[in-house]
Amino acid sequence: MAPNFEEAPGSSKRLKEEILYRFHSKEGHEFTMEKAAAELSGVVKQISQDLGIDDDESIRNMKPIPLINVSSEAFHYVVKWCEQHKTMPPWEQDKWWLNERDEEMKKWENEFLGGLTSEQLFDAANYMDIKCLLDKCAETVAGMIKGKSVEEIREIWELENDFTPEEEEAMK
Amino acid sequence: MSWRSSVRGPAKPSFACPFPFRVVPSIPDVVLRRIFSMMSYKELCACEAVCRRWQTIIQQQMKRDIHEISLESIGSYNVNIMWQKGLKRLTVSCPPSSPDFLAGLIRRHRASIARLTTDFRFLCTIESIRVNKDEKRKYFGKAEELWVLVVCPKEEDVVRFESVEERIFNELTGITLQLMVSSKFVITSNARILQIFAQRHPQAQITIELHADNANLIFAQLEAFPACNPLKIKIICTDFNLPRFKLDTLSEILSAQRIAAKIITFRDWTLCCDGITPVVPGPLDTFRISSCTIESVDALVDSFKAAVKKMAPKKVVKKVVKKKAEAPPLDEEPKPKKKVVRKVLKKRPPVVKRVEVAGQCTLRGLDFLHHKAHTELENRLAACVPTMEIDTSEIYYWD
Repeated sequence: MAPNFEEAPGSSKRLKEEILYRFHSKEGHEFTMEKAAAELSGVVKQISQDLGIDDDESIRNMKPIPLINVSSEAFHYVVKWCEQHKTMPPWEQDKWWLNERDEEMKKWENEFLGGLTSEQLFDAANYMDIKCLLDKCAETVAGMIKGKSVEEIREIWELENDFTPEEEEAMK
Repeated sequence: MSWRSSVRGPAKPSFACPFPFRVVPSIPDVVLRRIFSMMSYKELCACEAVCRRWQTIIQQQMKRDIHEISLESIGSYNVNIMWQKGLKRLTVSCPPSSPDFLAGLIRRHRASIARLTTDFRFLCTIESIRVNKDEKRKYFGKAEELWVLVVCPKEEDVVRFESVEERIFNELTGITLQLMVSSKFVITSNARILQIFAQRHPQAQITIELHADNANLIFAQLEAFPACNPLKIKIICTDFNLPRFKLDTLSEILSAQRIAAKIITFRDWTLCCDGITPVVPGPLDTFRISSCTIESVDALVDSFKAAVKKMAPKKVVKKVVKKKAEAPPLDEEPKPKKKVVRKVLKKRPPVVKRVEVAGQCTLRGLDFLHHKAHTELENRLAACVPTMEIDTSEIYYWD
Protein backbone atom coordinates (compact mmCIF):
# COMPACT_ATOMS: atom_id res chain seq x y z
CA MET A 1 0.00 0.00 0.00
CA ALA A 2 1.44 3.33 -0.97
CA PRO A 3 1.79 5.70 1.94
CA ASN A 4 -0.38 8.75 2.08
CA PHE A 5 2.02 11.52 1.35
CA GLU A 6 -0.37 14.28 2.31
CA GLU A 7 -0.46 13.32 5.98
CA ALA A 8 3.05 12.02 6.31
CA PRO A 9 5.62 13.94 8.36
CA GLY A 10 7.20 15.12 5.15
CA SER A 11 4.03 16.79 3.90
CA SER A 12 4.30 20.25 2.45
CA LYS A 13 1.49 21.45 4.69
CA ARG A 14 3.43 21.94 7.85
CA LEU A 15 3.58 24.56 10.51
CA LYS A 16 5.21 27.65 9.21
CA GLU A 17 7.17 28.27 12.44
CA GLU A 18 9.49 25.40 11.76
CA ILE A 19 12.53 25.99 9.62
CA LEU A 20 11.93 23.74 6.70
CA TYR A 21 13.80 22.74 3.63
CA ARG A 22 11.60 22.03 0.66
CA PHE A 23 12.23 19.30 -1.87
CA HIS A 24 10.81 18.05 -5.11
CA SER A 25 10.81 14.32 -5.66
CA LYS A 26 11.25 12.60 -8.99
CA GLU A 27 7.48 12.59 -9.51
CA GLY A 28 7.25 16.28 -8.68
CA HIS A 29 5.69 15.98 -5.23
CA GLU A 30 6.73 18.66 -2.85
CA PHE A 31 8.13 17.59 0.52
CA THR A 32 9.52 19.39 3.49
CA MET A 33 12.06 18.42 6.05
CA GLU A 34 13.03 20.10 9.26
CA LYS A 35 16.40 21.85 9.15
CA ALA A 36 18.30 19.56 11.54
CA ALA A 37 16.90 16.48 9.83
CA ALA A 38 17.59 17.67 6.31
CA GLU A 39 21.16 18.51 7.18
CA LEU A 40 21.88 14.85 7.86
CA SER A 41 22.10 14.68 4.11
CA GLY A 42 25.50 15.56 2.73
CA VAL A 43 23.89 16.75 -0.47
CA VAL A 44 21.56 19.22 1.25
CA LYS A 45 24.49 20.62 3.21
CA GLN A 46 26.54 20.95 0.08
CA ILE A 47 23.78 22.65 -1.86
CA SER A 48 23.05 25.23 0.81
CA GLN A 49 26.75 25.88 1.17
CA ASP A 50 27.13 26.37 -2.55
CA LEU A 51 24.20 28.76 -2.61
CA GLY A 52 25.59 30.66 0.36
CA ILE A 53 22.55 29.94 2.49
CA ASP A 54 23.32 30.03 6.14
CA ASP A 55 20.51 31.75 8.01
CA ASP A 56 17.06 30.41 8.70
CA GLU A 57 15.30 33.10 6.70
CA SER A 58 17.05 32.19 3.48
CA ILE A 59 16.26 28.54 4.07
CA ARG A 60 12.59 29.48 4.26
CA ASN A 61 12.82 31.46 1.07
CA MET A 62 14.82 28.84 -0.75
CA LYS A 63 13.31 27.19 -3.77
CA PRO A 64 12.54 23.50 -3.39
CA ILE A 65 15.59 21.33 -3.99
CA PRO A 66 14.89 19.02 -6.93
CA LEU A 67 15.89 15.42 -6.21
CA ILE A 68 15.52 13.90 -9.63
CA ASN A 69 16.69 10.46 -8.58
CA VAL A 70 14.54 10.08 -5.49
CA SER A 71 11.01 8.74 -5.77
CA SER A 72 8.26 10.05 -3.54
CA GLU A 73 7.98 6.69 -1.89
CA ALA A 74 11.65 6.54 -1.03
CA PHE A 75 11.65 10.13 0.11
CA HIS A 76 8.80 9.40 2.45
CA TYR A 77 11.07 6.95 4.25
CA VAL A 78 14.06 9.24 4.10
CA VAL A 79 12.06 11.91 5.93
CA LYS A 80 10.93 9.43 8.53
CA TRP A 81 14.48 8.33 9.14
CA CYS A 82 15.97 11.78 9.23
CA GLU A 83 13.35 13.22 11.56
CA GLN A 84 14.02 10.35 13.93
CA HIS A 85 17.77 10.92 13.82
CA LYS A 86 17.94 14.69 13.74
CA THR A 87 19.09 14.98 17.35
CA MET A 88 21.78 12.34 17.07
CA PRO A 89 25.44 13.39 17.02
CA PRO A 90 26.99 13.41 13.56
CA TRP A 91 27.69 9.99 12.13
CA GLU A 92 31.33 8.97 12.13
CA GLN A 93 31.85 6.62 9.27
CA ASP A 94 35.34 5.60 10.26
CA LYS A 95 34.94 5.80 14.00
CA TRP A 96 32.12 3.42 14.51
CA TRP A 97 32.62 3.32 18.28
CA LEU A 98 31.38 6.89 18.48
CA ASN A 99 28.08 5.97 16.90
CA GLU A 100 26.27 4.85 20.00
CA ARG A 101 22.61 4.13 19.66
CA ASP A 102 20.43 3.37 22.62
CA GLU A 103 18.22 0.30 22.71
CA GLU A 104 15.11 2.22 21.77
CA MET A 105 16.70 3.72 18.70
CA LYS A 106 18.09 0.35 17.65
CA LYS A 107 14.66 -1.16 17.95
CA TRP A 108 13.18 1.68 15.95
CA GLU A 109 15.83 1.32 13.27
CA ASN A 110 15.27 -2.40 12.93
CA GLU A 111 11.52 -2.00 12.71
CA PHE A 112 11.99 0.76 10.22
CA LEU A 113 14.12 -1.40 7.96
CA GLY A 114 11.83 -4.38 8.46
CA GLY A 115 8.86 -2.33 7.30
CA LEU A 116 10.45 -1.18 4.09
CA THR A 117 8.57 -1.82 0.91
CA SER A 118 11.07 -0.57 -1.60
CA GLU A 119 14.74 -0.95 -2.32
CA GLN A 120 14.76 2.62 -3.62
CA LEU A 121 15.63 3.80 -0.14
CA PHE A 122 19.15 2.54 -0.72
CA ASP A 123 19.58 4.61 -3.81
CA ALA A 124 18.05 7.59 -2.11
CA ALA A 125 20.36 7.31 0.87
CA ASN A 126 23.30 7.01 -1.45
CA TYR A 127 22.16 9.84 -3.70
CA MET A 128 21.42 12.19 -0.83
CA ASP A 129 24.55 11.08 1.01
CA ILE A 130 22.90 10.25 4.31
CA LYS A 131 25.69 8.40 6.03
CA CYS A 132 23.88 6.93 9.00
CA LEU A 133 21.08 5.55 6.87
CA LEU A 134 23.46 4.21 4.26
CA ASP A 135 25.55 2.47 6.86
CA LYS A 136 22.52 0.95 8.52
CA CYS A 137 21.30 -0.36 5.17
CA ALA A 138 24.75 -1.71 4.37
CA GLU A 139 24.91 -3.37 7.75
CA THR A 140 21.57 -5.01 7.16
CA VAL A 141 22.56 -6.33 3.77
CA ALA A 142 25.90 -7.51 5.14
CA GLY A 143 23.96 -9.38 7.81
CA MET A 144 21.89 -11.00 5.12
CA ILE A 145 24.93 -12.13 3.15
CA LYS A 146 26.81 -13.46 6.14
CA GLY A 147 26.84 -17.17 6.67
CA LYS A 148 25.50 -18.00 3.23
CA SER A 149 27.24 -20.09 0.67
CA VAL A 150 28.15 -18.78 -2.75
CA GLU A 151 25.24 -20.61 -4.37
CA GLU A 152 22.78 -19.29 -1.83
CA ILE A 153 23.91 -15.71 -2.35
CA ARG A 154 23.52 -16.06 -6.08
CA GLU A 155 20.08 -17.56 -5.70
CA ILE A 156 18.71 -15.03 -3.25
CA TRP A 157 19.76 -11.98 -5.17
CA GLU A 158 19.55 -13.50 -8.61
CA LEU A 159 23.15 -12.72 -9.36
CA GLU A 160 24.53 -14.30 -12.44
CA ASN A 161 27.59 -16.50 -12.18
CA ASP A 162 29.79 -14.99 -14.85
CA PHE A 163 32.91 -17.01 -14.15
CA THR A 164 34.14 -19.64 -16.53
CA PRO A 165 34.21 -23.14 -15.08
CA GLU A 166 38.03 -23.07 -15.07
CA GLU A 167 38.10 -19.84 -13.14
CA GLU A 168 35.65 -21.25 -10.70
CA GLU A 169 37.73 -24.36 -10.29
CA ALA A 170 40.80 -22.25 -9.62
CA MET A 171 39.00 -20.35 -6.93
CA LYS A 172 38.01 -23.28 -4.77
CA MET B 1 34.31 -30.01 -0.17
CA SER B 2 35.93 -26.64 -0.20
CA TRP B 3 37.12 -25.13 3.08
CA ARG B 4 34.71 -22.32 2.38
CA SER B 5 31.70 -24.48 2.94
CA SER B 6 32.42 -24.47 6.65
CA VAL B 7 30.96 -20.95 6.63
CA ARG B 8 27.64 -22.44 5.83
CA GLY B 9 25.08 -22.95 8.52
CA PRO B 10 22.61 -25.80 8.47
CA ALA B 11 21.25 -26.07 4.96
CA LYS B 12 17.83 -24.57 4.57
CA PRO B 13 15.52 -25.53 1.74
CA SER B 14 14.24 -22.02 1.15
CA PHE B 15 15.52 -18.61 2.00
CA ALA B 16 13.69 -16.22 4.17
CA CYS B 17 14.79 -12.86 2.92
CA PRO B 18 14.17 -10.18 5.54
CA PHE B 19 13.81 -7.59 2.81
CA PRO B 20 10.78 -7.88 0.63
CA PHE B 21 12.81 -6.80 -2.35
CA ARG B 22 15.85 -7.76 -4.31
CA VAL B 23 18.15 -4.95 -3.60
CA VAL B 24 21.61 -6.32 -4.02
CA PRO B 25 22.12 -6.47 -7.79
CA SER B 26 21.31 -2.81 -8.29
CA ILE B 27 23.46 -1.43 -5.49
CA PRO B 28 26.14 0.97 -6.70
CA ASP B 29 29.79 0.10 -6.10
CA VAL B 30 30.19 2.64 -3.33
CA VAL B 31 27.48 1.01 -1.28
CA LEU B 32 28.73 -2.48 -2.04
CA ARG B 33 32.12 -1.44 -0.73
CA ARG B 34 30.46 -0.21 2.41
CA ILE B 35 28.67 -3.52 2.78
CA PHE B 36 31.82 -5.54 2.22
CA SER B 37 33.77 -3.45 4.66
CA MET B 38 31.48 -4.78 7.39
CA MET B 39 32.20 -8.39 6.64
CA SER B 40 34.88 -10.74 7.86
CA TYR B 41 37.60 -12.22 5.72
CA LYS B 42 35.92 -15.58 5.55
CA GLU B 43 32.64 -14.08 4.44
CA LEU B 44 34.37 -12.04 1.81
CA CYS B 45 36.00 -15.17 0.46
CA ALA B 46 32.53 -16.53 -0.16
CA CYS B 47 31.30 -13.27 -1.69
CA GLU B 48 34.33 -13.08 -3.90
CA ALA B 49 33.24 -16.21 -5.70
CA VAL B 50 29.77 -14.90 -6.47
CA CYS B 51 30.43 -12.87 -9.59
CA ARG B 52 33.09 -10.84 -11.34
CA ARG B 53 31.87 -7.49 -10.17
CA TRP B 54 31.95 -8.55 -6.54
CA GLN B 55 35.30 -10.16 -7.01
CA THR B 56 36.80 -6.99 -8.42
CA ILE B 57 35.49 -4.85 -5.61
CA ILE B 58 36.57 -7.28 -2.90
CA GLN B 59 40.02 -7.72 -4.35
CA GLN B 60 40.53 -3.98 -4.49
CA GLN B 61 39.52 -3.78 -0.88
CA MET B 62 41.83 -6.59 0.19
CA LYS B 63 44.68 -5.08 -1.76
CA ARG B 64 44.19 -1.84 0.09
CA ASP B 65 43.72 -3.33 3.53
CA ILE B 66 46.11 -6.27 3.60
CA HIS B 67 49.79 -5.51 3.26
CA GLU B 68 51.02 -8.07 5.67
CA ILE B 69 50.28 -11.71 6.31
CA SER B 70 51.25 -13.76 9.31
CA LEU B 71 50.80 -17.38 8.52
CA GLU B 72 51.29 -19.99 11.14
CA SER B 73 50.60 -23.65 10.84
CA ILE B 74 52.17 -25.02 13.96
CA GLY B 75 49.68 -26.46 16.37
CA SER B 76 46.51 -25.38 14.60
CA TYR B 77 43.73 -27.77 13.76
CA ASN B 78 41.43 -25.54 11.80
CA VAL B 79 41.57 -22.39 9.78
CA ASN B 80 41.48 -19.25 11.90
CA ILE B 81 41.66 -15.84 10.36
CA MET B 82 42.00 -12.48 12.00
CA TRP B 83 42.00 -9.36 9.91
CA GLN B 84 43.44 -6.27 11.58
CA LYS B 85 42.41 -3.64 9.12
CA GLY B 86 44.11 -0.79 10.91
CA LEU B 87 47.42 -2.60 10.81
CA LYS B 88 46.65 -3.86 7.30
CA ARG B 89 47.52 -7.28 8.55
CA LEU B 90 45.96 -10.67 8.11
CA THR B 91 46.81 -13.21 10.76
CA VAL B 92 46.10 -16.75 9.73
CA SER B 93 46.58 -19.99 11.51
CA CYS B 94 45.79 -23.08 9.55
CA PRO B 95 46.89 -26.69 9.56
CA PRO B 96 49.58 -27.50 6.98
CA SER B 97 47.08 -29.80 5.31
CA SER B 98 44.83 -27.10 3.94
CA PRO B 99 46.11 -26.65 0.39
CA ASP B 100 42.80 -25.24 -0.89
CA PHE B 101 42.78 -22.46 1.60
CA LEU B 102 46.46 -21.69 1.14
CA ALA B 103 46.03 -21.66 -2.63
CA GLY B 104 43.28 -19.08 -2.26
CA LEU B 105 45.37 -17.06 0.12
CA ILE B 106 48.28 -16.95 -2.30
CA ARG B 107 45.99 -16.17 -5.24
CA ARG B 108 44.36 -13.27 -3.47
CA HIS B 109 47.43 -11.64 -1.95
CA ARG B 110 50.33 -12.74 -4.10
CA ALA B 111 50.81 -9.40 -5.72
CA SER B 112 50.05 -7.06 -2.88
CA ILE B 113 51.70 -8.08 0.34
CA ALA B 114 54.86 -6.36 1.49
CA ARG B 115 55.47 -8.26 4.69
CA LEU B 116 55.22 -11.94 5.29
CA THR B 117 55.63 -13.79 8.54
CA THR B 118 55.56 -17.52 8.26
CA ASP B 119 57.18 -20.76 9.20
CA PHE B 120 59.83 -22.43 7.16
CA ARG B 121 57.71 -25.42 6.34
CA PHE B 122 55.24 -23.26 4.41
CA LEU B 123 58.04 -21.88 2.25
CA CYS B 124 59.58 -25.21 1.43
CA THR B 125 56.27 -26.87 0.63
CA ILE B 126 54.89 -23.94 -1.33
CA GLU B 127 55.25 -25.84 -4.58
CA SER B 128 52.79 -28.44 -3.49
CA ILE B 129 50.10 -25.76 -3.36
CA ARG B 130 48.38 -25.50 -6.69
CA VAL B 131 48.37 -21.83 -7.62
CA ASN B 132 47.08 -20.53 -10.88
CA LYS B 133 49.86 -18.19 -11.83
CA ASP B 134 52.31 -17.51 -14.57
CA GLU B 135 55.33 -19.80 -14.13
CA LYS B 136 57.70 -16.86 -14.34
CA ARG B 137 55.94 -14.86 -11.70
CA LYS B 138 57.16 -15.05 -8.15
CA TYR B 139 54.88 -16.30 -5.43
CA PHE B 140 55.29 -13.11 -3.41
CA GLY B 141 56.94 -10.71 -5.80
CA LYS B 142 56.18 -7.57 -3.84
CA ALA B 143 57.33 -8.88 -0.48
CA GLU B 144 60.03 -6.76 1.09
CA GLU B 145 60.17 -8.01 4.60
CA LEU B 146 60.17 -11.59 5.67
CA TRP B 147 60.14 -13.20 9.07
CA VAL B 148 60.69 -16.93 9.06
CA LEU B 149 60.25 -19.19 11.99
CA VAL B 150 62.45 -22.23 11.63
CA VAL B 151 61.58 -25.18 13.82
CA CYS B 152 63.37 -28.50 13.34
CA PRO B 153 64.12 -28.19 9.64
CA LYS B 154 64.88 -31.50 7.98
CA GLU B 155 67.68 -31.75 5.50
CA GLU B 156 65.33 -32.55 2.65
CA ASP B 157 63.24 -29.50 3.53
CA VAL B 158 66.28 -27.32 3.09
CA VAL B 159 67.04 -28.91 -0.25
CA ARG B 160 63.48 -28.33 -1.40
CA PHE B 161 63.60 -24.77 -0.21
CA GLU B 162 66.83 -24.13 -2.01
CA SER B 163 65.30 -25.23 -5.27
CA VAL B 164 62.19 -23.10 -4.88
CA GLU B 165 63.47 -19.99 -3.11
CA GLU B 166 64.17 -17.90 -6.19
CA ARG B 167 60.62 -18.38 -7.34
CA ILE B 168 59.11 -17.12 -4.10
CA PHE B 169 60.58 -13.66 -3.65
CA ASN B 170 62.19 -10.88 -5.59
CA GLU B 171 64.66 -8.79 -3.66
CA LEU B 172 63.92 -8.73 0.05
CA THR B 173 65.08 -5.78 2.13
CA GLY B 174 64.61 -7.20 5.57
CA ILE B 175 64.83 -10.80 6.73
CA THR B 176 64.44 -12.14 10.22
CA LEU B 177 65.35 -15.73 10.83
CA GLN B 178 63.97 -17.06 14.04
CA LEU B 179 65.96 -20.20 14.58
CA MET B 180 64.87 -22.57 17.32
CA VAL B 181 68.08 -24.33 18.20
CA SER B 182 66.44 -27.17 20.02
CA SER B 183 69.14 -29.78 19.49
CA LYS B 184 72.44 -30.17 17.76
CA PHE B 185 70.76 -31.95 14.89
CA VAL B 186 69.23 -28.78 13.48
CA ILE B 187 72.45 -26.80 13.43
CA THR B 188 73.62 -27.71 9.95
CA SER B 189 70.23 -27.07 8.40
CA ASN B 190 69.88 -23.74 10.16
CA ALA B 191 73.28 -22.64 8.95
CA ARG B 192 72.40 -23.65 5.42
CA ILE B 193 69.17 -21.66 5.56
CA LEU B 194 71.05 -18.58 6.67
CA GLN B 195 73.51 -19.07 3.87
CA ILE B 196 70.77 -19.38 1.25
CA PHE B 197 69.11 -16.17 2.37
CA ALA B 198 72.36 -14.25 2.69
CA GLN B 199 73.45 -15.27 -0.78
CA ARG B 200 70.15 -14.65 -2.49
CA HIS B 201 69.52 -11.29 -0.84
CA PRO B 202 72.88 -9.66 -0.34
CA GLN B 203 71.29 -6.25 0.18
CA ALA B 204 68.86 -7.38 2.84
CA GLN B 205 69.31 -6.51 6.46
CA ILE B 206 69.28 -9.79 8.29
CA THR B 207 68.27 -10.32 11.87
CA ILE B 208 69.12 -13.65 13.41
CA GLU B 209 67.16 -14.71 16.43
CA LEU B 210 68.63 -17.70 18.20
CA HIS B 211 66.47 -19.46 20.72
CA ALA B 212 67.95 -22.21 22.84
CA ASP B 213 67.81 -23.52 26.37
CA ASN B 214 71.56 -23.49 26.92
CA ALA B 215 74.58 -21.55 25.80
CA ASN B 216 76.41 -24.49 24.24
CA LEU B 217 73.76 -24.90 21.57
CA ILE B 218 74.04 -21.21 20.73
CA PHE B 219 77.79 -21.48 20.44
CA ALA B 220 77.58 -24.61 18.32
CA GLN B 221 75.09 -22.89 16.04
CA LEU B 222 77.24 -19.80 15.67
CA GLU B 223 80.26 -21.94 14.91
CA ALA B 224 78.36 -23.49 12.03
CA PHE B 225 77.37 -20.14 10.52
CA PRO B 226 79.11 -18.73 7.49
CA ALA B 227 80.92 -15.41 7.77
CA CYS B 228 78.25 -12.73 7.56
CA ASN B 229 77.28 -9.21 8.59
CA PRO B 230 73.81 -9.38 10.03
CA LEU B 231 72.13 -6.27 11.33
CA LYS B 232 71.18 -7.90 14.56
CA ILE B 233 71.79 -11.05 16.52
CA LYS B 234 69.33 -11.78 19.28
CA ILE B 235 70.28 -14.51 21.67
CA ILE B 236 67.29 -15.65 23.61
CA CYS B 237 67.08 -18.27 26.29
CA THR B 238 64.08 -20.56 26.36
CA ASP B 239 64.86 -21.97 29.76
CA PHE B 240 63.34 -20.38 32.83
CA ASN B 241 66.20 -20.44 35.29
CA LEU B 242 68.64 -18.18 33.47
CA PRO B 243 71.51 -20.54 32.57
CA ARG B 244 75.04 -19.13 32.33
CA PHE B 245 76.17 -17.59 29.09
CA LYS B 246 79.86 -16.81 28.68
CA LEU B 247 80.40 -13.57 26.83
CA ASP B 248 84.08 -14.29 26.30
CA THR B 249 83.30 -17.49 24.43
CA LEU B 250 80.78 -15.63 22.29
CA SER B 251 83.29 -12.93 21.52
CA GLU B 252 85.90 -15.48 20.50
CA ILE B 253 83.49 -17.38 18.27
CA LEU B 254 82.19 -14.27 16.54
CA SER B 255 85.73 -13.20 15.92
CA ALA B 256 86.83 -16.60 14.60
CA GLN B 257 83.76 -17.00 12.38
CA ARG B 258 83.97 -13.42 11.15
CA ILE B 259 80.40 -12.69 12.10
CA ALA B 260 79.96 -8.97 12.62
CA ALA B 261 76.58 -7.78 13.77
CA LYS B 262 75.62 -4.17 14.42
CA ILE B 263 73.35 -5.01 17.31
CA ILE B 264 73.62 -7.85 19.79
CA THR B 265 70.84 -8.54 22.23
CA PHE B 266 70.67 -11.00 25.10
CA ARG B 267 67.57 -12.08 26.88
CA ASP B 268 67.00 -14.27 29.93
CA TRP B 269 70.57 -15.40 30.55
CA THR B 270 73.06 -15.17 33.36
CA LEU B 271 75.81 -13.29 31.59
CA CYS B 272 79.35 -13.88 32.71
CA CYS B 273 82.74 -12.92 31.42
CA ASP B 274 86.37 -13.49 32.34
CA GLY B 275 87.33 -9.82 32.47
CA ILE B 276 90.21 -10.36 30.05
CA THR B 277 88.64 -11.15 26.70
CA PRO B 278 87.15 -8.09 24.98
CA VAL B 279 83.41 -8.11 25.46
CA VAL B 280 82.87 -7.82 21.73
CA PRO B 281 85.25 -8.69 18.93
CA GLY B 282 84.66 -5.56 16.88
CA PRO B 283 82.81 -2.27 16.86
CA LEU B 284 79.14 -2.52 17.62
CA ASP B 285 76.20 -0.13 17.51
CA THR B 286 74.15 -1.51 20.34
CA PHE B 287 74.80 -4.04 23.06
CA ARG B 288 71.51 -4.79 24.73
CA ILE B 289 71.01 -6.75 27.89
CA SER B 290 67.40 -7.56 28.52
CA SER B 291 66.13 -9.36 31.61
CA CYS B 292 69.47 -10.93 32.43
CA THR B 293 71.50 -11.51 35.51
CA ILE B 294 74.99 -10.10 35.28
CA GLU B 295 77.14 -12.52 37.21
CA SER B 296 79.81 -10.00 38.03
CA VAL B 297 79.59 -6.34 37.25
CA ASP B 298 83.32 -5.95 37.85
CA ALA B 299 84.16 -8.58 35.25
CA LEU B 300 81.78 -7.01 32.75
CA VAL B 301 83.36 -3.61 33.19
CA ASP B 302 86.82 -5.17 32.83
CA SER B 303 85.75 -6.87 29.62
CA PHE B 304 84.58 -3.54 28.25
CA LYS B 305 87.93 -2.07 29.21
CA ALA B 306 89.66 -4.90 27.39
CA ALA B 307 87.63 -4.18 24.29
CA VAL B 308 88.54 -0.50 24.42
CA LYS B 309 92.18 -1.37 24.85
CA LYS B 310 92.13 -3.72 21.93
CA MET B 311 90.57 -1.23 19.60
CA ALA B 312 92.19 1.95 20.86
CA PRO B 313 94.64 3.61 18.49
CA LYS B 314 98.16 2.45 19.24
CA LYS B 315 99.69 5.86 18.94
CA VAL B 316 98.88 9.38 18.02
CA VAL B 317 99.56 9.79 14.36
CA LYS B 318 101.36 12.94 13.53
CA LYS B 319 100.41 14.12 10.16
CA VAL B 320 102.42 16.75 8.44
CA VAL B 321 100.60 18.56 5.75
CA LYS B 322 102.70 20.70 3.54
CA LYS B 323 100.76 23.22 1.67
CA LYS B 324 101.90 23.39 -1.87
CA ALA B 325 103.32 26.77 -2.41
CA GLU B 326 101.67 28.20 -5.41
CA ALA B 327 103.77 30.41 -7.50
CA PRO B 328 102.55 33.81 -6.45
CA PRO B 329 101.93 36.37 -9.14
CA LEU B 330 104.89 38.63 -9.34
CA ASP B 331 103.11 41.84 -8.53
CA GLU B 332 101.90 40.53 -5.20
CA GLU B 333 103.77 40.20 -2.01
CA PRO B 334 104.96 36.69 -1.61
CA LYS B 335 103.12 34.91 1.10
CA PRO B 336 105.06 33.29 3.85
CA LYS B 337 105.38 29.60 3.37
CA LYS B 338 102.98 27.77 5.55
CA LYS B 339 103.87 24.61 7.28
CA VAL B 340 100.87 23.12 8.86
CA VAL B 341 101.38 20.56 11.52
CA ARG B 342 98.21 18.94 12.61
CA LYS B 343 97.92 16.49 15.35
CA VAL B 344 95.51 14.02 14.00
CA LEU B 345 94.07 11.77 16.55
CA LYS B 346 92.89 9.09 14.29
CA LYS B 347 89.27 8.92 15.21
CA ARG B 348 87.87 5.51 15.71
CA PRO B 349 84.29 4.67 16.31
CA PRO B 350 83.72 3.80 19.94
CA VAL B 351 83.86 0.09 20.65
CA VAL B 352 80.21 0.05 21.47
CA LYS B 353 78.10 3.06 20.63
CA ARG B 354 75.31 2.24 22.97
CA VAL B 355 74.66 -0.11 25.85
CA GLU B 356 71.13 -0.78 26.92
CA VAL B 357 70.20 -2.59 30.08
CA ALA B 358 66.51 -3.21 30.28
CA GLY B 359 63.88 -5.31 31.92
CA GLN B 360 64.26 -7.17 35.11
CA CYS B 361 67.99 -7.43 35.60
CA THR B 362 70.08 -8.48 38.57
CA LEU B 363 73.46 -6.79 38.81
CA ARG B 364 75.58 -9.02 41.04
CA GLY B 365 78.20 -7.09 42.90
CA LEU B 366 76.02 -4.02 43.07
CA ASP B 367 73.18 -5.64 45.00
CA PHE B 368 73.92 -3.53 48.05
CA LEU B 369 72.78 -0.47 46.13
CA HIS B 370 69.32 -1.95 45.74
CA HIS B 371 67.32 0.09 43.27
CA LYS B 372 70.20 2.36 42.40
CA ALA B 373 72.47 -0.39 41.13
CA HIS B 374 71.94 0.60 37.52
CA THR B 375 73.20 4.15 38.08
CA GLU B 376 76.42 2.73 39.48
CA LEU B 377 76.73 0.44 36.47
CA GLU B 378 76.22 3.46 34.24
CA ASN B 379 78.94 5.37 36.06
CA ARG B 380 81.42 2.54 35.91
CA LEU B 381 80.89 1.89 32.22
CA ALA B 382 81.03 5.59 31.45
CA ALA B 383 84.30 5.84 33.30
CA CYS B 384 86.00 3.24 31.14
CA VAL B 385 84.37 4.09 27.81
CA PRO B 386 83.50 7.81 27.92
CA THR B 387 82.04 8.04 24.42
CA MET B 388 79.60 5.25 24.98
CA GLU B 389 75.91 5.99 25.38
CA ILE B 390 74.38 4.06 28.24
CA ASP B 391 70.69 3.63 28.73
CA THR B 392 69.39 1.86 31.80
CA SER B 393 66.08 3.70 31.94
CA GLU B 394 64.06 0.60 31.17
CA ILE B 395 65.44 -1.48 34.00
CA TYR B 396 63.25 -2.66 36.83
CA TYR B 397 63.64 -4.67 39.97
CA TRP B 398 61.84 -7.53 41.56
CA ASP B 399 61.11 -6.09 44.96
